Amino acid sequence: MTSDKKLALNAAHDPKAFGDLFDRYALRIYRYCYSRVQHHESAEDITAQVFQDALEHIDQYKPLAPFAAWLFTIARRRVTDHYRRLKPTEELSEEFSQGNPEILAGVIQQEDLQSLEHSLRKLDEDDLELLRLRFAAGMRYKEIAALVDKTPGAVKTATYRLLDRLKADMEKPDDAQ
Amino acid sequence: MMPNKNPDHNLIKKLRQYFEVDPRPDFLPALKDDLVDQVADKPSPLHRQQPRKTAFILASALTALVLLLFITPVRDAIGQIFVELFHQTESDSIPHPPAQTLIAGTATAEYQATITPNQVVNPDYEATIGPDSVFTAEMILFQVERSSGYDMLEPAFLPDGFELTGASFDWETGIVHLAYDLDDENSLTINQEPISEAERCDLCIEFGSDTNVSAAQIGDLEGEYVKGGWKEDGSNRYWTSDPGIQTLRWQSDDIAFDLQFQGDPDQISQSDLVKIAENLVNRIPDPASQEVATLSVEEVEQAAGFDVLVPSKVPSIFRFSGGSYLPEENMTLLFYDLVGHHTHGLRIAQEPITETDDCDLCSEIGPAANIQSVQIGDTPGELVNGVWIFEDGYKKWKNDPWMVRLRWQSNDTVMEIMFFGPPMTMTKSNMVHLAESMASSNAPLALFNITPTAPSSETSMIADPSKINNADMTLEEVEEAAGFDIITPTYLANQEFYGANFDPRSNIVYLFYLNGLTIRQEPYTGIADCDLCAVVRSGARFRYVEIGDIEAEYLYGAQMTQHLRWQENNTFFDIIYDHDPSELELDDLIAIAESLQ
Repeated sequence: MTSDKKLALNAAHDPKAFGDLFDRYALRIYRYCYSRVQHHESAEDITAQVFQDALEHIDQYKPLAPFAAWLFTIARRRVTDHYRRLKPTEELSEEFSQGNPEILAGVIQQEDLQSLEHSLRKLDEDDLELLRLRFAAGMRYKEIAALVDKTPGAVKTATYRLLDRLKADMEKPDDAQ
Repeated sequence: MMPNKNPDHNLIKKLRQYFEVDPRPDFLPALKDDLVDQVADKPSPLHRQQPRKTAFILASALTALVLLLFITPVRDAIGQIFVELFHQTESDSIPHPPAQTLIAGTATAEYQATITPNQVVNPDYEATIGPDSVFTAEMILFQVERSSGYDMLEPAFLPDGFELTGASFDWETGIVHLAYDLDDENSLTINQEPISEAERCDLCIEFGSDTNVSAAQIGDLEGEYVKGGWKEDGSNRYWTSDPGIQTLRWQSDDIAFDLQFQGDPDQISQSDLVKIAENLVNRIPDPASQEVATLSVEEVEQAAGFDVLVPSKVPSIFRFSGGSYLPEENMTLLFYDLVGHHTHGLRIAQEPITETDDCDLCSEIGPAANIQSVQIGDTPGELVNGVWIFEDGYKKWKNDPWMVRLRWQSNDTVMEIMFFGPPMTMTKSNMVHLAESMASSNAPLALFNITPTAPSSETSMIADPSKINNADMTLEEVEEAAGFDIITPTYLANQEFYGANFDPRSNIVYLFYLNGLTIRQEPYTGIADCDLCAVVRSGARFRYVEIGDIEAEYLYGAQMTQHLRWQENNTFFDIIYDHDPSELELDDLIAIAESLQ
């Protein structure tokens, strides 16, 4: 499989190279954006902006860092811009809206996911962002590390610690939560 | 508190489900079409910059030339293909599944075992060869097996995607651990322990009391299968029935086996584990390793079907140990041991290429690697220090001075000289020099090739002429005995002539000087008859120096004799100094050499 680096180096003038990169990252970008804004249309808008930015600036990509880190840097910036543009009275209609609706429709899993969401709400923004990058964006530890300027080992340890905390919180009895 | 090394895979699955939200089905395809159209509609930079017809023609011609040279595949005017010799990866850390077992220990022990008191190793450099400085995972298996002292088994079958990430040998328990990972969260460990003479079986630890142990059939053998495992929470060790931990155990002959999977329970089933267990086989050596390189150069050429170049100036500190041919890669390998240290040495690889992307030799290096451009005669080459290592669960590029690679392309063949050993043994100029000496194996070999000489049965019958105590001839007497002109120095530094001797069997004249200097000379008619060209000492460093217009080899080291060796006018010279190196340095040796008349 052609590496991201090679595709990125050709993407400015090669429609297929850009298309291949899009195929690899579009859904991941969308899911990350959705996990941030919890609103389908906004997530779609931001996803489109992210790839438009990527197309316009792909010749500035330096292949010293993973391409994913470069692309998600744009995505994070675009999400931040999105929040800045919101008027003070506007609120995101689907703030923390229980993730995937289809899955939530499953009666068996609903309780579990509600419990998960309940615990996720208690996390601070940095921890939540780590989970988004890992599980919504599907980023590998080294990609996250490049994005947040830490070592892969530090990111992995932080993730595992976070998972331990999350699990412990979810296993607490309801009345204790 | 340390994080749990085995995160709850149910929780990970829930998180993935939680974030698994899809856009409208038509959104991404429409967005892709729009963006790809924009790329296609972008005007070519050439068109923007060359509006005039003549410029356009020039640009077209240039483009055609570029295409001819670099794209389709890349060829020069005589049809040569050019390849990228070193591919740099996007990052110095490549996601590599975390090894559950430690590589550390084994390699260290292996390395230490190779050190001898005579080896010249700068202590500063010793620290840089970490236990993680490995070539390939397969090489680790070789080392682990040698360390264990028994024939370990490895899986001939693994579910798709699992790759070897590490191996280790526990000296205390005798357990060999092999680690295979699918990704960050799914790992498989195969542990094996000889139990014939041991009073204890460390692999045979008890399962938790509330565990449901089921019987498993592994071929004709009976085993046990359980879900769950021991975990540690601070200082407490407790049994968890986590379905993400599956263990299959059995014994075969006098070996206890333990096969443990940790990860998503849906990734591997009991029957998968049984299939892995039933397909454990004796290790097959990596065909690219020195372990199986037993062919002579001629045999390598016969197997490869193409001419193999050999270096005509191999420094005396190396000895050819064998060659091999890799049919799948169409690559030949020649190995040279650093004398006395079989894990250090040279590997010379040659691969004819037919397409630009067909170069198996052109493996990736990290972006932090420093590619140095060098000139091998008229041919450009690239030199890199470094190696991929395992660290923190990642395959990471390390600019390790112990590993030097020089690559270049000669016609349609990619060549690589790789040296693994003490830094500065093979400097950049040494590597280039070696590369420049590469010639057809049929070509006459030059002076520094190695021709080990077997001790003669007559040796003990006569006084050893190489000892100063037996040097009882004058210069005139030794010249008469030798029958050829003896060359003597006019500059002697602080040395004083003591006596001479002649060895009629080797045709070598010895001139001995007080204070540690010896000059040996031998008529040179070819490498086959050159006794002085033989290996001199193990563990030396060397470099090329010039004596006037003549090229010489200088061998040196903190605890060893200095040699200055060269060939001139059909005579091979070897100046030896074995006293305090600070008393007589290289410049003095060169001055003595230049004064020989």
